[in-house]
Amino acid sequence: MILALLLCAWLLWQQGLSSALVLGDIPGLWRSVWLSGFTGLLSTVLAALLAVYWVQVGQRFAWLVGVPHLALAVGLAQIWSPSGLWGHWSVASGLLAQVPQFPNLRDDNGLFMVFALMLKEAAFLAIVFGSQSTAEDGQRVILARSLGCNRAQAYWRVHVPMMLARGRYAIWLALTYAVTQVEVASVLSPQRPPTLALMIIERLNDARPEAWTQAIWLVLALVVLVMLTIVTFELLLKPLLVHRAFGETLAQRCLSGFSRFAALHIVLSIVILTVLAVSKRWPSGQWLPSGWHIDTLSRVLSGDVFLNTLMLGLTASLLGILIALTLLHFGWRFAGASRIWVVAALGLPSLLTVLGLYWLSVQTQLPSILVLLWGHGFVVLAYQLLLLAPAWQKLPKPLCDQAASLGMRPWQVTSRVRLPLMSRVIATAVAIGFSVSVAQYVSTLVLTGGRVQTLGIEVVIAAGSGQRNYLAASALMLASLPAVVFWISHAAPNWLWRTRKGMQIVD
Amino acid sequence: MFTKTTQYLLSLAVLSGTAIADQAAFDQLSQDAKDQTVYFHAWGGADSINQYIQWAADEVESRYGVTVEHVKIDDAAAVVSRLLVEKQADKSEGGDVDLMWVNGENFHTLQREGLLADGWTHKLPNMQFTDPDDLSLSFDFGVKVEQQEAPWGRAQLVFFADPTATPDLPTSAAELLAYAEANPGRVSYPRPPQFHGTTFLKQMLSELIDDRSVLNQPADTVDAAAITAPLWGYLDQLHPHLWQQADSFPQDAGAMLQMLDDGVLDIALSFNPSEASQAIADGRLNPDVRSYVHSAGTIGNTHFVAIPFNANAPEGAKVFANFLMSPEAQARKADPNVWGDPTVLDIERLSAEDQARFAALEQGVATLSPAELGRPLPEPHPSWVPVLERLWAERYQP
Repeated sequence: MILALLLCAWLLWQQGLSSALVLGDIPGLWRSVWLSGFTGLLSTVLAALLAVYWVQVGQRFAWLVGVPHLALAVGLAQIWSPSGLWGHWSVASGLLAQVPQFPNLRDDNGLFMVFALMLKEAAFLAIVFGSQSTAEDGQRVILARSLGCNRAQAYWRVHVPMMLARGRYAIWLALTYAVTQVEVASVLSPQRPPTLALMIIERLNDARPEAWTQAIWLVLALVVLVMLTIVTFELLLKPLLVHRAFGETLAQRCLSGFSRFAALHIVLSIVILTVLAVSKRWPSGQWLPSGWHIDTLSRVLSGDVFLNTLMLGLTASLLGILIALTLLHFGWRFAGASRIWVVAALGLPSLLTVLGLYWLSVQTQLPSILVLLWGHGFVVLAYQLLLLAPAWQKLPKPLCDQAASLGMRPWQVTSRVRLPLMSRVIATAVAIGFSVSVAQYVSTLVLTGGRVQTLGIEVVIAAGSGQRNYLAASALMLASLPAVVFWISHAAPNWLWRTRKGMQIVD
Repeated sequence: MFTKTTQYLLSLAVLSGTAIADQAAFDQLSQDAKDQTVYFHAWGGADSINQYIQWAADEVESRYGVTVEHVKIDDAAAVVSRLLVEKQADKSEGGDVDLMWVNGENFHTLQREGLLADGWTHKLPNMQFTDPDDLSLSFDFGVKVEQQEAPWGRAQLVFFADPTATPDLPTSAAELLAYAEANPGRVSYPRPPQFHGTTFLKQMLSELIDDRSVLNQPADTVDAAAITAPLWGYLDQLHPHLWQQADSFPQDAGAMLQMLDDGVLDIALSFNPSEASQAIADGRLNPDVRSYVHSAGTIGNTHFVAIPFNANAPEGAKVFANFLMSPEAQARKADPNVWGDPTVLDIERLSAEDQARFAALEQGVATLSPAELGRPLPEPHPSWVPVLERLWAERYQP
């Protein structure tokens, strides 16, 4: 990460600081900055509120974390685009005589993009908030009720502030992602101008010699924007959320309805992807497609792209696990400088890392596949350490000490005591690492120049070219792969250690 | 002095001798290319084209032992940008790109920045089937090709509509404006700098100015702002009547075709004259859709493949480029059921058997005949592309 920053600084030093003036030549820059900040803040605030609600009513969408942003965005677009589900059914039902001109998925304020981002980030935040809940939480709410608060007041005055305070870092991560993401923006961003992150990608794809200088300055501007949005959230928006003193009941009802609306869209987006992946032409004004086939789906499943995605995800994830467990074995702890490294790896815009790595790979002429694994593994490892480190530290020390006293060497204590005890967490970390790798669209594209084709790249290309059947089949596979790996990761430890209960062998 | 017959026989002998020498050199090239992997960077936005490239890759692997990997890209400018970075870093060999599908604008940049391999196309045996006097093969967007790119196919801007739903097809810029005013929200074009969007701007500009020849000159040698003024005036009138009032645009021509089929738009466009036929044959498009062109003609060009300066497998790339120009590959490409891309070969130079391949091709239900397509309008000088894109962005991306 530091290397990436240094490389950017070196490159700009070569070009001269006056090269920043090129930013003035970019039409729509300030509008783009505003758009990125606004959509990032709004989606994160809504996601945080929805996540707190989901935790309270019991999590039902944890699985959504594994679905890449891109796949969900494509699914939502197929519901709401004028030529999507809504467009077809509004004509088929006779509600409208012609396919509607609205809504505009790429509306000037990026509201559809906000909606898509919110759904995904809410699932992530709900998992984090849920994992940080304690038995005391319920008692605090009960205390508030006993002191005269109604249900809604207790929720807004006690539950929400408590969750937002505990999940501060997770919210910052969500905010950073929302401001800097390219995946959802490539499907739903406004076009005149696009978001700042998309503007950077446009510059990286621009053949003009000055475009790269512009891209680097824009990446640095993006870093500043991330910091500004975090400050804005902490100083302005969070106080508004946690010091509500009126309208709690109405807000509670709105949140409940909004949650149902969101849930409907999550389910519908998967359904519509499945339908379009196996359908032929869908004539205008018809309730359903005119025919069905699985040729495209079979082709996607049997193609190199699917295999590349699978292999890359597994390699990055297993490498990450290996490194993480080695680090933990040698005493790595999630504290101090280590914590800063992990938070920085996840909290700084991925575009910065990718740009730095790409420049490094060109300068050193490292093989692109190695750089790609570095780029993926870097983020995967950070997520896995975030998950594994607390579990490792909670392992009962007396058991490990006893194993050592029985003559086990340190590596044997790890392999025969710690790892079996952590099998479920490790399996989950493999699945999370896999889904993080599968979702890495920008790094795969930039670091290999497209030489390693993955489902993410395929979906973005297909999304822009109107190949609806192929797009849906690729997006469905993109969504399904992590889900299957999650399922396997859940089932595998049960099967592998079916004869064990903790350290005990059972018949 | 030699008689004319002697001269003819002598030249024939020299030509055949050259051909034999070329064949021997190519055989050696094929040997050198064996077991190489060629990374072919080509637009991957159309399933039919992707499948055709896969077929060609399989053929070259079985015939020459050369593996071809199709690197699907959404914009060739991204590849040019990468090559620029590699050039700055002195990465003169082992590059990521072995062969790329380019248009004139990117070719101009590649040539200007010294990012192309030295002339090589004259060494390809299948070049003998092209017409050396065909200026569209020796000039790309008005820039001399210098044997640095091999011709692959031809393109001409065509429009698609369903005549049963749109009986009065607008065949000029003025008629298109009138149509959009009468049918608000039913017309659009891809957003520049997307290739088809920029082509739409060039088409309208060509129709709206009196003297088209000024577009053959580099944009920085003329008053570009004054010359393009009629275009901006026209778009100012057109935009309020476009789909979404021009707040957003279709991503590209493929997306427009889907929107035409979905009933969102009345008119789509493409650079492939057979695209509608291909989509109809594939069951992706309303069978009533037909192609048409503007009465003043539409912009056309030839598309090429080029080898970058630092290609890792230049021999394999040449073998693949040669195969792409073979009568067999060109005939398959021209088939509307496969891709429908017109050939760059001169049919009269082919053997009777190969001529029969082309003669057997059906035109496609929605494809215009060469006479209906008319003579294509020449592409403006490539320097107009960044000018048009910049002025468009400044005006419509505040």
